[in-house]
Amino acid sequence: MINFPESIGYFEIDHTADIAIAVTGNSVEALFIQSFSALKKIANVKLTTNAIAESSLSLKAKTIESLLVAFLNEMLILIESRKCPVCKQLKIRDNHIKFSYSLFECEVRGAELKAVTYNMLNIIEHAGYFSTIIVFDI
Amino acid sequence: MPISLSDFDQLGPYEWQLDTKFTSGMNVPVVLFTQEKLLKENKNDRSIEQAINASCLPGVVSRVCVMPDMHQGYGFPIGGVAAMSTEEGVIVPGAIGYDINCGVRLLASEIPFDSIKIFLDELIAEINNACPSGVGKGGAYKISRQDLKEVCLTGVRWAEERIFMQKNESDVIEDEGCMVPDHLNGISKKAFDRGLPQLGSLGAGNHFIEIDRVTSIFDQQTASVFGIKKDMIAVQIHSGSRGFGHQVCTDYVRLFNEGTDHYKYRVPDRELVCAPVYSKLGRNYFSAMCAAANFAFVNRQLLTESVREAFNAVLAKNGIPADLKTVYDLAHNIGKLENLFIDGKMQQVFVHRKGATRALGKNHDNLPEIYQETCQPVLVPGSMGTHSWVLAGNKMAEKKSLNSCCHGAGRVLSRSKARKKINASELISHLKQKGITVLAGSYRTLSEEAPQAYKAVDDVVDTITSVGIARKVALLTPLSVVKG
Repeated sequence: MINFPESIGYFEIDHTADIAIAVTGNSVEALFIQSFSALKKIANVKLTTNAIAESSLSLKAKTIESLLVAFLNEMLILIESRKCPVCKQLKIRDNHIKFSYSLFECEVRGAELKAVTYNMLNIIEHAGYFSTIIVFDI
Repeated sequence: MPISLSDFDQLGPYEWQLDTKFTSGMNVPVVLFTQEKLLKENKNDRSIEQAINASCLPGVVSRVCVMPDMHQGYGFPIGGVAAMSTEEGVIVPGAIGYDINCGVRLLASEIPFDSIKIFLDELIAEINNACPSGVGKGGAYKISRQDLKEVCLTGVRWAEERIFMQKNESDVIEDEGCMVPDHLNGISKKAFDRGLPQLGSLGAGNHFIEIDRVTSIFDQQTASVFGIKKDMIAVQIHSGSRGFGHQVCTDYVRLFNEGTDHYKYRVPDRELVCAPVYSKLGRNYFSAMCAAANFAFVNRQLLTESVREAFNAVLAKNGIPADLKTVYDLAHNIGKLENLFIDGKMQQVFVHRKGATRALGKNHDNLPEIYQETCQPVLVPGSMGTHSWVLAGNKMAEKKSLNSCCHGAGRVLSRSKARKKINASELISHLKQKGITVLAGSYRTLSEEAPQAYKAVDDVVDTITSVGIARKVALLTPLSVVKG
């Protein structure tokens, strides 16, 4: 049983081979944003320029968990190519995300995240907070 | 569920079997090759539970084997091996992993340690320059999209045609460096986009290139056939299929999650999502996995060439011949069709190995001619501060471990604990005092990959050799390391 912090955010939990985080948000959107913040922190992303482009992303999935995996995987690929999105707007309805963002060039000085896994991923709602564990393959 | 060794039947000093009666849903027993002190290091992780989950998969046959370097993965345990019936069994992308054909290549030389010890710092710096490492870093070779497709289809034959290989080098690569995909239609554009700039790069995390000194020989005759001599220099390369393989696995875990409901499989973890081996989805995944495996074989080949160039650049000008020959190149995250002796008869099965290597015994059809008598070289890297082992397979592995062996030391500390406990700059100094130079992309990686974060590789190897799965050939001691 993980005790989430009272405020929205994330923290790392023990995982032998990979990196696991517990994330919570006061809305599904906040959960997604917090998860992306955790990904950037683990990869130690540093923005290096002013915005180089404006862009958007639209993704659909069968479940909200699949949507979170798909969203984070898109973010991971952008960061791998040294480009980091900064959120302008993020909306989620019926397992469909619309994400508009400014794109910045960046440096990556932290861990190489190979993938976002489904292991232990289960988004639960409790008292208006949404939370889950995410395991990143390292 | 808390599980201890008392739940297991002891089959031998280092062999423990958990019967299918232990919990409902187990189709085959789980066999651990371990010793109590190694198992204690896994007491807080879920590796045994994950092995039990694997034993519940549809069509799994014989036994699920778990090697002494086991630790918790995401769904399937690291160090786990499971074989599936091709008729009733399933293919499981998560039991192969995101870094498809992550593996190790060993290069041996006749370069005496004494003759190059004064050049080691220059050598490792040259290797570090020649072999791009770090998150998403591009490779040293610029290739076209058509080249990448040929890499995926033909593996190291693509490199052979471009003289990136020595004569007969492909003979000493698992599957001769090519797993033949039926087609490339099931590979996403995203996978090709990620793979295109990364061929010939090391990556990050636990990937490394290490210059070693051969410090002990345990089996002179076998070492001689492997080309390994005491006090000579050897090089290990540990890398995989980079973003290409990561994306292939990501794509198929999603496709399997969305497209397998009709099979009504009840999998205990969504990372174990699966499809019948010969279903359309299963075959498409296997084709894409073969392509990613080929990417990894070529990646290690190109890294080999970069290492050779670095050796030449530093040693040739000092009049030292720098020939590095591949001893063997093997995969430790892979799935493949193999013939195994199960339930009294030879059967074709689909074997999943995640954090485990193949280990073939004498006179096996899949061994190159030069290793028919010695058996297959099995490479067991330690951590950067401890030595590594070269083993040779044994016929016993066919009976006991689905022709499989351990792949390394195995983690014992979580990455977060390692970062808290280990100061990277102190580690660099400590290793320097031991005569080991380490170049790393980040302090974070160094702390996470410190020797203290791993089990004692000697205990792992002693377990394996006591069980009889493999035998000791040579010991390698690290001199200089590039960590991704």
